[in-house]
Amino acid sequence: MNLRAAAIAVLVPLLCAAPRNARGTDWDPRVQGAIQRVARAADADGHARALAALADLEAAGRARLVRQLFLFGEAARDTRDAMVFGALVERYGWTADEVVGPLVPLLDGADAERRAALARVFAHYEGRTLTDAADFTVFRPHLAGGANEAVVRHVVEADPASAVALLSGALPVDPTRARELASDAAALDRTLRAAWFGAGGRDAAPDAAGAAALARLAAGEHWWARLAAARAAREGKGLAAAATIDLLDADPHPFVREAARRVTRR
Amino acid sequence: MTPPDRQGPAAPRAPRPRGTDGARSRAGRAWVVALLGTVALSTAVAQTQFLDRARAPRPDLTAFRPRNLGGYAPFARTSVPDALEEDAQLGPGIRRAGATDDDPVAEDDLIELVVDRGGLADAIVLERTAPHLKLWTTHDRQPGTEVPFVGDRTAPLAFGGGAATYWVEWVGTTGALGALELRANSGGKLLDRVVLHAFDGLVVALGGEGQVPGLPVDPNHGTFVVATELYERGYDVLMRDEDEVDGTGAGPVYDQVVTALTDRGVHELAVFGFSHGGGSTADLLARLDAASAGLPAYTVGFTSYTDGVGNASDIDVSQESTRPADSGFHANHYQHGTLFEDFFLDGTAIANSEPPPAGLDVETTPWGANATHYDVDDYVQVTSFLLSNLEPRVGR
Repeated sequence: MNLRAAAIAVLVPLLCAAPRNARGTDWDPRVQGAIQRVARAADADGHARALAALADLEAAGRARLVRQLFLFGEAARDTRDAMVFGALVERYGWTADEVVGPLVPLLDGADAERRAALARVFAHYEGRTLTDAADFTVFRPHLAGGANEAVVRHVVEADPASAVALLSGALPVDPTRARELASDAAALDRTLRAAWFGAGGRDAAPDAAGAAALARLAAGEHWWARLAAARAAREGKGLAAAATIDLLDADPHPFVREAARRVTRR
Repeated sequence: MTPPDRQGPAAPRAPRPRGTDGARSRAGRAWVVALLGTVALSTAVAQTQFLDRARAPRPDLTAFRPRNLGGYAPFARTSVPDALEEDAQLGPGIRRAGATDDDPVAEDDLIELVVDRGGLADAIVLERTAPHLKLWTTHDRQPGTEVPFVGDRTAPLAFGGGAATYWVEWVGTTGALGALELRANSGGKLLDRVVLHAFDGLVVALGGEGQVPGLPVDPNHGTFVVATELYERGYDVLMRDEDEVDGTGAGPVYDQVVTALTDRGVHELAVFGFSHGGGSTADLLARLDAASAGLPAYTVGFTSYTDGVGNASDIDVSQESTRPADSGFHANHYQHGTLFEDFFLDGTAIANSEPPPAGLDVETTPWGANATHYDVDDYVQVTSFLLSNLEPRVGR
């Protein structure tokens, strides 16, 4: 075999392999090309043809298209490309489940940057505002089989109080304990809002009920409750003390340790 | 180095009209030759003196614009021009450092000051005019690296070569201006001077989705072009990715604004953004307003949306239609989206915005008639409107 043939034998399979983006998730060059033709069409006719082609892809596999749109937006370096995903969600009228469902698997093994990018999409369906807590209903189907750790980590990061309320009801938890956790979740929500918007400022110590709720969560048997305490501790020095953050720094669960160390090693 | 004042040679007088007889003509020509020769010689001497002075180093202080996130990025390391180094507005600005100042990555509030001894053999010292000023040889105040002042004067400065780098700290949350003067140790002759203004203001600039501040500044990122201009004009500027503000206004940008208000004596804010950056402008100020009971008093002298889009999420495409909370002056520029050009992405009119009464639909202007969502932030008419209206309304 001569050198040229050997090079072809080695390079062709490599070049034909599905390219991976920097974070190791396969992306589909064909679908990416179709998305790019929509984003970069030179004229209205070209745009219409590109949209029609994309509609065919959507009909053939909506979940795949949703994932590829997320990846396209994640890699975007300008506003034109970055806004395509949202524009098409609006255009196709996809439901929350139709967008969130295909993206949940991307949480598995995701690095912090990928998790943050997914969180910024999921936020569209969580309804969290200055006055309203997050509604994590869209994630219930993904907890039906037990604690999907990646989903749990996301909801706790997004809104620890609402997450405890969700998880105490969605996961197999003793009913009495579930009621206690729901009560602690409500106290945690009040405590966080006091830290964010109260006259004492973010580093003020929580009131007695809030401090007790944080302490119970931090000492709880469920790792996601301890994770919620570690997450809440990030919101102020007073909360960190009440959450016994130094103990959570050595927690047996890696997600809890990681969350605690974002506070203790600041 | 400051170019020396220089004056060119006096303009030669016009030669006398040529005489009609030969003798007078020869004398006139000789006079002209002598005059031109004198002018040429004077010019040569003056140029030589200028070049000599330009080549000859002299003691000099050079201050730099503020650092961010432990370095200078997303701005370039930018020296303050000599001509501005004593200007209380356009000169070097410095953040006050309260006891609980919280830097997000690493200490980044000290101002770099390069001292060039300019070939001077004699010892030179620094004097300060305000007790708030401290001097270090490390940017992060390593133990043992403080340069002490005794009676507001340092000991003779040490130079490894011709120049030395120091780091200036403003201690405490009060005070407005402070000068550092480079002086000869013997005799106290003033060699150079910089005047630092402690920041009362903070500018927050938020680009559109996918626009990440970087170097060099992308000319297609109009928000960042404005932010860089303000930075170079003496403001403290947070030029950030709108992803750093979530749909409730929380995030690293909010944390830094709160730190500025609570720990650095900042009390004047300007916030502006393009597309999702406009939505984040609204969210950030709404959160600050909700938290105001626990914050020191502040004013929001200037805000702006350029084609503001709601930013509750990365896939939010709604128009940002709420005027930012507490804004004393809100600029609003927008266009009308179409399917092909920009997927119908656009901002909207907002009551009580500038230009009155609800902002400017740029498509009603000759220059903006063909604007799209993706270029409306780049028009010089938009960026200059932001600059010219922000500066009179927000202090440095």
